[in-house]
Amino acid sequence: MNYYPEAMARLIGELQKLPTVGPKTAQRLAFYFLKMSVMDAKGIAQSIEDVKSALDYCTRCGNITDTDPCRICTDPRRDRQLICVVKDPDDLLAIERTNQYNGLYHTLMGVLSPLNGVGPQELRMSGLFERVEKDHIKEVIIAISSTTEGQATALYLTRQLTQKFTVSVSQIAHGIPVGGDLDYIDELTIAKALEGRRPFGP
Amino acid sequence: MWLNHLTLRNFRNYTDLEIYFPDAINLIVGNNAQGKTNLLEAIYFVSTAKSHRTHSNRELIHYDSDWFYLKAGIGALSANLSLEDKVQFPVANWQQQVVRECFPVGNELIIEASHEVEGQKQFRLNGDLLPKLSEWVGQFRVVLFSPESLILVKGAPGDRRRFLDQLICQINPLYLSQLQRYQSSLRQRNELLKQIRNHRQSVDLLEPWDELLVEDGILITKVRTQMLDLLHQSAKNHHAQLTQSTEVLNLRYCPSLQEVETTDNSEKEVAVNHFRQRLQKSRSTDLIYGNTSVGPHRDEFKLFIQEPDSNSIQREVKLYGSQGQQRTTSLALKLGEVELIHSQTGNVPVVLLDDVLSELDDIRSQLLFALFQDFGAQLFITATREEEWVAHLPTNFNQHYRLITIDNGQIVA
Repeated sequence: MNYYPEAMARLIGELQKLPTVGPKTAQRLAFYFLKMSVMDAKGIAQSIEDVKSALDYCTRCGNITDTDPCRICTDPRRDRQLICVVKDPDDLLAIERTNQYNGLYHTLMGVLSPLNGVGPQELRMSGLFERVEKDHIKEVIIAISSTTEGQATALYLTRQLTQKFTVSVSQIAHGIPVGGDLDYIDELTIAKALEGRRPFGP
Repeated sequence: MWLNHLTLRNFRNYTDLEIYFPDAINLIVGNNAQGKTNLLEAIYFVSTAKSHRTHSNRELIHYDSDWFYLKAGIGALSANLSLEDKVQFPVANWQQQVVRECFPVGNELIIEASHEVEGQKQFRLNGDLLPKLSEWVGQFRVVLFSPESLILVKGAPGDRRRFLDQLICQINPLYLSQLQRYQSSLRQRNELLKQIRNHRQSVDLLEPWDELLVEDGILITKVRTQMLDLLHQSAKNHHAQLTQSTEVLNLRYCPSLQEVETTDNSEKEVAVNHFRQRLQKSRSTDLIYGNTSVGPHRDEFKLFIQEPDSNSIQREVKLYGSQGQQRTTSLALKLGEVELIHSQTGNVPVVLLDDVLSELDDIRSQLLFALFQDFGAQLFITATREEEWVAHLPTNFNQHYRLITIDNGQIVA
């Protein structure tokens, strides 16, 4: 890349650190920055810096936040004896967007995966146990995806929680997606959906 | 199922070939190392996304290229066109136009497969990119008979297990995702066993993975039990025909767990507890070896023959069968495969016979072709010379066949 001036080469190199950005996209973005007004470019640089200096993970729930503890953890209108466990802040926001949930959260920052060297120590599990004990939590809802790793994590958490504390543990339903056609769904999913069936009608 | 046409670019020794197959029986002849098997391999790859000869996709690419591309047009036997009609197309006339009439445009399923040296295999179905293998397998069904089919009888338990799994996948594509799920949990558990052995994790972490193995393992055992039962019936019948009822073939499923036959809840409960206990019991040895010793990944089925008298001794074909008996048994299994795919999916698979003519004595090959005439399958057969094929024909065999002569990656006649 020595045919670029050094500053340009450095920018292209930095942009390539982003996910889904390869050499060609990085080059296109770099040229785009070059054409931008100084103000726009500074705006982008500044907002990246702000995110890094002003935002951090909430020490209680692990959500991204500009105040610690975060706004959800300090919201007085929320049910403070209900915790929903999710994999990462993305999933937390997905649930938050539905406006259907009014408790607190706890993000694990990953799922168990021996092959990737992730054990309970690598996840924010002890923090969850501490909260359950100290804050007298009544119910923990596990909302982790139904991949094998996700399910192993859910099973492990359930076992640990029910052994250590008197807390009720539930898991979000897994099964047929809304609008899904039974024909196209594998046996395991249907079996799960049947297992988790609920009374219907008046 | 009918393979209408096939395009090969930079596949093995073919640089660019487009060929139409209006005929039911396609005899591919040519000297050694001219590309007869490569042509069958291309058909097999389009069906299964794998080669039957190698695990390395690199080998499939032409030696002075860095990609290959395959395209196949698949039709079902259409309602207004019987097998006889199709067979009567004059051989010289296999031009595009004839085929277009034969299979109206739009009725065809187009499958494209490509691979670059540095990239992933890509598959398109009617132009749409397919991201998952499970969406792909089972679209176009083929059954391959080759000298290697003998490993079904002589090979390790894993060879028979793979045969069974592949058969189930062709019939029930959703089975593949179940199998992949099970295998992913298994890999995680084995890695965890090693970590626990080295005191890097605690033993109570095993439990969730055990639960996942039980859940998927029971479903897999159930599907295999059902399919093996069907395969047993069908292979047994074909074996009786091939041996003119002088021998009886029996298949016995030897699951690592106990068989699961019904979806009855109480029975499922028993099976679940059984698997759980077995995992518990083997835990200490599993920890020593860093490997899971019970579960469907250790399943196998065994093959026995006996004389028609039901009191006679059952002998395992793998250990006590003669070469001839082993060949007949593998043939019966393959015919069972054809029949099951036909009866379970309503589609007759395309049948590939790679280099098997020389292996069969006359009676068996005559019977073999009679059976194919019953099924009405489209056949692709390789032979070094046309005489070799003619010598194997039954005396009353009057089916038209098309001769495709191959010379150095080109069709010369």
